[in-house]
Amino acid sequence: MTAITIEPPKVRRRFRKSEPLAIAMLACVAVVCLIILALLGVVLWLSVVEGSPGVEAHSYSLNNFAEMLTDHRIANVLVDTLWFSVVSLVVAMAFGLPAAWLAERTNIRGKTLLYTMMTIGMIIPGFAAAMGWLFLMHPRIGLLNVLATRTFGFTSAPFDIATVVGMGWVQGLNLAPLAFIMTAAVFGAMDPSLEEAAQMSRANPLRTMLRVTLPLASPGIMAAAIYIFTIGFAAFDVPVIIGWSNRIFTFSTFLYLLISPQDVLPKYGVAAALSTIVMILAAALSWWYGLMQKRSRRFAVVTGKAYRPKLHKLGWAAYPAWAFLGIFFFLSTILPIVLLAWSSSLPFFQMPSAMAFKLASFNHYRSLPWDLVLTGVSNTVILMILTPTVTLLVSIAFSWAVIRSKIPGRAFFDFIAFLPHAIPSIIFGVGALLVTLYVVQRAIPIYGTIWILLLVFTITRISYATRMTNSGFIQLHTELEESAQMSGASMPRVFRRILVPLLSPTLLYAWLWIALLTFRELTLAAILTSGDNTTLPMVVWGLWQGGGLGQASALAMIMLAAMAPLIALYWMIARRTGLMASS
Amino acid sequence: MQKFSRLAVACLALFIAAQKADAAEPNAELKALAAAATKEGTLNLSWSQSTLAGSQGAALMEASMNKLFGSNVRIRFAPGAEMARIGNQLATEFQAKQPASTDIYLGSAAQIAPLVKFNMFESADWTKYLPERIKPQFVEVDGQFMRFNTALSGVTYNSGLAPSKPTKLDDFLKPEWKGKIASTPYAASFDVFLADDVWGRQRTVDYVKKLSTQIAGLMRCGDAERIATGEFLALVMDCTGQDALIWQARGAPVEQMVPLDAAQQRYYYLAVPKNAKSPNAAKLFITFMMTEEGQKIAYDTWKTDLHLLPGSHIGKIVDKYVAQNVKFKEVTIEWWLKHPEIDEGKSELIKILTTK
Repeated sequence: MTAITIEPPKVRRRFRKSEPLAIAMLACVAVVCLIILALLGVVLWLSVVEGSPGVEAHSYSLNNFAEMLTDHRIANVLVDTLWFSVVSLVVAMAFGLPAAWLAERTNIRGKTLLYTMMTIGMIIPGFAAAMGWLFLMHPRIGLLNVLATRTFGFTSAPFDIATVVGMGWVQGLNLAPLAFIMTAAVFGAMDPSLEEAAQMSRANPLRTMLRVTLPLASPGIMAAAIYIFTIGFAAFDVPVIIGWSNRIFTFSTFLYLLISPQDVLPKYGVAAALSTIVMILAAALSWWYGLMQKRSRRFAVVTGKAYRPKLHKLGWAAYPAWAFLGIFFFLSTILPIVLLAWSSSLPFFQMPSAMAFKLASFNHYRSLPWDLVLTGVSNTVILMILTPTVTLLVSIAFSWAVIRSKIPGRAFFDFIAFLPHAIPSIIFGVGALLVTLYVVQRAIPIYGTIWILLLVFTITRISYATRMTNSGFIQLHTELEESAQMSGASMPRVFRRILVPLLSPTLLYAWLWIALLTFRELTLAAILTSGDNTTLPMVVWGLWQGGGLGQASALAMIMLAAMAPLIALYWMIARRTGLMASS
Repeated sequence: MQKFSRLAVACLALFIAAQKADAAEPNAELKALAAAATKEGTLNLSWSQSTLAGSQGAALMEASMNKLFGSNVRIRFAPGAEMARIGNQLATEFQAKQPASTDIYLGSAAQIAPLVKFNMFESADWTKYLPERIKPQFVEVDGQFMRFNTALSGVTYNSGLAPSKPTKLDDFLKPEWKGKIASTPYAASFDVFLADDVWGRQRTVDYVKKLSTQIAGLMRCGDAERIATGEFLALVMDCTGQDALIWQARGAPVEQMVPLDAAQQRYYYLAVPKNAKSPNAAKLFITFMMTEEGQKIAYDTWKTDLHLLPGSHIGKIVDKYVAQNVKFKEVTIEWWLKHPEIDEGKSELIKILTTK
């Protein structure tokens, strides 16, 4: 009789850190962390350096801070930036929050249309919306003002978009789709039992919403608000189109002014000193955001088969609700596009009249610098493909290191990965510009190429991508991986056969979102492009800046048309997978 | 006798044709330059889309230059930022030992003067390429900068919407202009007033402070569509007067006022950065811009040319003003460098203008 001995399977509770893939991922995480810290380190270093960074003889002092503090414009800039961010936030929330509640907590009909109307505005880059609103509400040439003045006999224009509030309005409309998506996710994940209890106690819908729904959702809404506020704080495209020509500077545009002065060489030191202050503010906001995120999780439920929130019946209130949604859609999408189309068809912008219609043509479209546009298209397409791909690969490595690896200090990696959201991206742009020009120019000559854009775009999108991959990893129980290991699967095989397929809806959704943001990115491109590596938004801005308002409008229209399929795909996948852009 | 006359006319025509052919034929130096430029293949240019008609102008220049010199150089044009910003970028790239992002720098004395100390532009003996057109006085700072057109600074304004016809700078301090005018974020043309032999610092700062309370916003020179649309009714002060002519040609009611008590005659210069990727193509282009064909394209696209060259359109305008006893302050790089008080005061003007 032969004794059969069964060897117990070799169970490894965790992957060994010596596995090649684990080593590669940890190395990738370490390198990316180093790059992020190096970019910020250069900015901090510059803030205490006197003189030009390229000059060998330089000294250290706090003079840059002194110069910054004595520049009376800085206080105005910070106040205007805060005010602009607050207005943007209020406008974004005023439209996004009720729409999210309607979508997730009511029985309103036509939710597909509602989602479309609320998210289609994402196709309009901030600079294009700003251009449209300038044509609409400029005190002298704004169509609305001219009409109002002619019709009602006002002595001065009733609307002025060229103010901090006006800029905040445009930025807020542009951010409302994000506010909608983020707060819809909050309402969707909220525990409905307390609401149901309130209704059982005969509380009316308004009372239930005010006393139960909103307090329950408030930490999540607050987290979304902080997230949107930080975007407003760092915004560049709306302030540069509307504010710049009206002497209103926000942090990003003022920083841009400092690094591209008209009288002397760039004041990198003062710009770095100002950036340092903003970094401290950003760190505080980031800490607050983290706190709100933790609180919001306390009110979430693990959605399962039994989870089915009771929806409020709207009844006749559906009509004003649709009117509200229609107004938003008209203001955020239709109006700017119509104004851009009108501007793109005229030799120079003017009021609609028989003469103006006679002058309308496609000349601006025909006369576009097509060689340059094609260079911009080619660079933008490459970046749109590579940025989300590289960002997600790096983010998977980060999430694995943070969620699965159990290596000491992994929370630090997560902290570093979140920095690019908290800190305005223009600071990373300046850091990258200086590092590639003065530190690594011989070893890694990427200045003036699209690779520098890829590097910085990737860095600045890591925060969002790691939030997505982190939550993806958290949702996947380790049992699946452990079972695969018990069956002898190697780590790459586990990733290939289990983790990546299970994460694929999240990854696809995140990929599209990052691709969309890359397509419309202007802030970093304005700092880092130098001819060969120009992108499509930069070509639009270059035309706008050079006085080609009609050509810029024509190219913006072409961009919008090109973005439409992308946003349709994004929206389709988001709906199909039930995923929402969460923080 | 009739036969003899016909023969004489034919001979004369042949002689003139031969003379013309000689003039158009590039000399050996120019031929060698064209060959070297062809070898480089591509010329990278960057300036504002409104300067020399941007990309469309570049295409015209490419075709005309290659035809004239028998070269084969492809121009890659990228619309750039303001002249000062491009200058800053070139200085940064030069200091960092990186190739220049544009092979030619186009700027006026205001932007070039701060860059001179870096010694970042190539010196060349330009007269040898086109001795019949390029005169030594066109070239400044040891052959680094070539004057290629003349600009008359003043105020560009919308004559259809202007509350009154301006004749002097003080007119823009009147209440009817308040909140309707723009200035540049770089104090264009006011900088010249800072010089001790023009207005001096105190008078200039006083004027700009008063003007700052009148202006609604900032715009770049060349962005005159904003004047044409009525977004701003005037640009006080502009860099040159050509925008008014450009927009008049498009049917817009835009005019320029040259303040007769403070008339300035500025130049735009072309220069080759030492770290240019295609230095020979750049030199060939600059030489081309000094030819009759180059000057014609400059005028057709930008309504400006060098008033010192024969047949200049701007020359006729200058002559008209001179006949009215207008005395222009000639603003050259060398003049600018002799007036350090300009750069000392310019930052103050910029701060005043960029603060609401």
